[in-house]
Amino acid sequence: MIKYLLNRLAQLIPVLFGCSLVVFLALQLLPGDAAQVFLGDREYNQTDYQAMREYLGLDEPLYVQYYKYLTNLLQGDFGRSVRTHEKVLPAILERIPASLTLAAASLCVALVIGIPVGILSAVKPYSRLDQGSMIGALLGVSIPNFWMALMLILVFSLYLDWLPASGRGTPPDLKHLVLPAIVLGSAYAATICRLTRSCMLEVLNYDFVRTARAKGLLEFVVINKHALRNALIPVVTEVGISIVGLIEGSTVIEVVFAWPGIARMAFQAAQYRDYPMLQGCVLMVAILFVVVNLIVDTLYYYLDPRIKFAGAAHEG
Amino acid sequence: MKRSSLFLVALLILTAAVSAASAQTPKRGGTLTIGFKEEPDRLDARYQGRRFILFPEVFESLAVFGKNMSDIRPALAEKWEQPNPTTYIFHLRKGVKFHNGRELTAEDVKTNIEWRSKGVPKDWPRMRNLEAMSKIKEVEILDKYKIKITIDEPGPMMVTAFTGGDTGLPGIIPPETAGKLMLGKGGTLPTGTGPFRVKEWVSGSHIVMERFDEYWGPKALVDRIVFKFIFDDDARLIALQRGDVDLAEQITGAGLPIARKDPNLQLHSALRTFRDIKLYYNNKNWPMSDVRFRQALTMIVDFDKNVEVLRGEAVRAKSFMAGSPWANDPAVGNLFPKYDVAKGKALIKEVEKAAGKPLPELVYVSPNRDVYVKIANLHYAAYTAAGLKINLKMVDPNQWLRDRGEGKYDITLAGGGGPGMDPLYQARMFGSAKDVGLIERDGFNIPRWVNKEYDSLIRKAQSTEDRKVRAKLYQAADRILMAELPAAPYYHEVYTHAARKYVKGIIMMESGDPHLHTPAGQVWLDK
Repeated sequence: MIKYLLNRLAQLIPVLFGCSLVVFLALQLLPGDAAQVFLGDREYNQTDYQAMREYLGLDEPLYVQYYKYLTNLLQGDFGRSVRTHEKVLPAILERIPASLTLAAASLCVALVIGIPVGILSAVKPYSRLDQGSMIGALLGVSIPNFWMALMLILVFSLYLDWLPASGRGTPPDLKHLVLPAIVLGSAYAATICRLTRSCMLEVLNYDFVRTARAKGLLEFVVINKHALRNALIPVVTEVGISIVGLIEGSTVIEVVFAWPGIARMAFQAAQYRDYPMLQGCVLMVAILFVVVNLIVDTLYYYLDPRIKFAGAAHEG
Repeated sequence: MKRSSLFLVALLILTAAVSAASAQTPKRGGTLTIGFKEEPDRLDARYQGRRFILFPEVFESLAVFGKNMSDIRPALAEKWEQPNPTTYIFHLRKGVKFHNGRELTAEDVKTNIEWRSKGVPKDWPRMRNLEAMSKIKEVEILDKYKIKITIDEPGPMMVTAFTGGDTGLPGIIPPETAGKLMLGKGGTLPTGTGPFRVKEWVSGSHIVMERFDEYWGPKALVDRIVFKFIFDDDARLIALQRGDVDLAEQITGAGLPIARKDPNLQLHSALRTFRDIKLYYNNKNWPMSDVRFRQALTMIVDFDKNVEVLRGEAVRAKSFMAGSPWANDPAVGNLFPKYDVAKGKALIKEVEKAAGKPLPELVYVSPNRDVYVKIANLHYAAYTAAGLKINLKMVDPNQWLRDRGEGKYDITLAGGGGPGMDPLYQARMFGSAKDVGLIERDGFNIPRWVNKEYDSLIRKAQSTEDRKVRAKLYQAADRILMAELPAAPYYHEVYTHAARKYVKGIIMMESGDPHLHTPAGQVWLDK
């Protein structure tokens, strides 16, 4: 197991290196440069512009810029925002807790709704419950989240006055989390529900499930111990991908609910062509993606005996 | 009476009603929570944004606006004198404390002014400079509380430049904190001399300010102000209706009728004469270089009707100097070409025939912002109906600024102006040299228009302080603009903010921002 983890951690190095290169090169392709942003939009001449390019190191060859960028990254220096002049890494780290909290809460919503409903739909396929849940799932995927957000705010904040409409609370509290988590989680709940249902339907037809039933095991045990564990592997993969999606894809939710997360920060950075900040946000999301993938792969180790056997055989 | 005039009257009545309401005895205490649209980039007097809310609570300059932007009153300087046209002597108020407890002296003021007049270290962000600041030749300390400022040539805007805003000297900060508080967030909290001091800034969430008890002037009536950043317009209005915030800024579009109907809310509107919106033609490109074509473009669009479509978010500006009451000659507005599609089409044909070549496709570049998009679509419809080929480009605001700065447009809508309702700022949009114009990246003004007679009038107006003389010069300049039409004057923006009824003493100014603490009054809560 330890060797497996070390192996996976070693694989992260070239992946993160690749990410940094792609992020760096992708932002070079965008029109304009940091010197223009730094100088503002008028009242500077070519000399000022060249001096600023020199100061920011933009006059150097691309590979030198990348080398310096990478060296600084390794020292934890993501640069400074050209818009606010704050250091990028602390600024991102200040926003990360809000993003992770929202992502975790949304994921809970998605799992709590998606998995049980998916199982029930699979156990009783084509029943009214199944049809109802699939219509619900379809709506969950189709309804635009900004519209759903505004509707929930109108009902639960304005008319019923149960929950706050915006912000994270001072200090942060759970009440402020409820509505954004429901809106963000509901779309993923629909996806997880559909995935769980189809995987369960497939697994329930396998021989080992038939054998378990033939042995006279309770249906509850057959479903939860034998079928669900096997059906969960694709669901876990989806959840892994969803976590990062929940962080970087929550821009609209963060704007509507005034949630101080990283997605809104990245959106604003793109809007103002704040390249260092945008680079930092994209790289941070890439790092999160890689780390979550590692965690998901580790979970496979527990969920899928074949991976365990392969690992054991390798270790042996 | 035209709709725009009716709207103006309604605004005046509203302002009068607000003034009457605020005549009650002010109460002390409470927390004022404001739903604020956009988090500032930084909270640093050296780089103040264009807002007149949030910054003036923390930072102060030598003078300050009172009831409006023509009403300039002493602030950190208790008085000033002008022994000759190029010399100003400012007498600083004694006992003014920075939020860090140190007393303000002439040395602090000199350092702060020189950051603007002489330049800043390379690693500081660039400041926006008004000519008034670059005209400063020397700042001399006469004693601990007295400074002498010598300028190159006489100018009417020196004192206005010291009343805040981002075009002059926005505020004085203790120099020992420079370099530490460029951000306001993620570092040392901003330090000024204002009636409130910043207690907390949570990035993306809120700023908390507390009353500064050692403030030199009238102490703030509210104990605390919380600026909550709520970018979404609907969410901001709902937060106000719920009572999560006491005041929500910038209520627009569909939110306006909802806010008007809510019995718990009061609306405050301000006509932003401070900033005029104009439709610019790129005079460098043919056929825009032909005055007949510019007249034709102006005739085929119903400007009055377009402004009505903006439903209370704008009021028509009939001339270029319309925003400055003392300089504006209403008769100049009559020179604006009348809406006449047939005549416009005939002029277009005349231009095409004279040139002996077909008209090219015209590029209309617009930032993809609400009102700008509405106007762009209306113009597209009018131009294409008149048989013109238009390439309508809706781009993000930064791209638009770049395109505009490099002259990559034929037609575009842009704003411009400055504090004090002074025509100087409108006039400078059309000056073709650096001393009289706002010059873009390619060395031209926005419309790429050159008129030496115009430049000469503006140069004269800039070097005299006599308002009567200046008014005549600006009116003459306005007539040249009307005849030449390098652009078309369009509208003044109207900013509307909503507050719970217990919020009293809000003063609206030409900036469009609600002012919370001015020598003319301050906000308080009647809870």
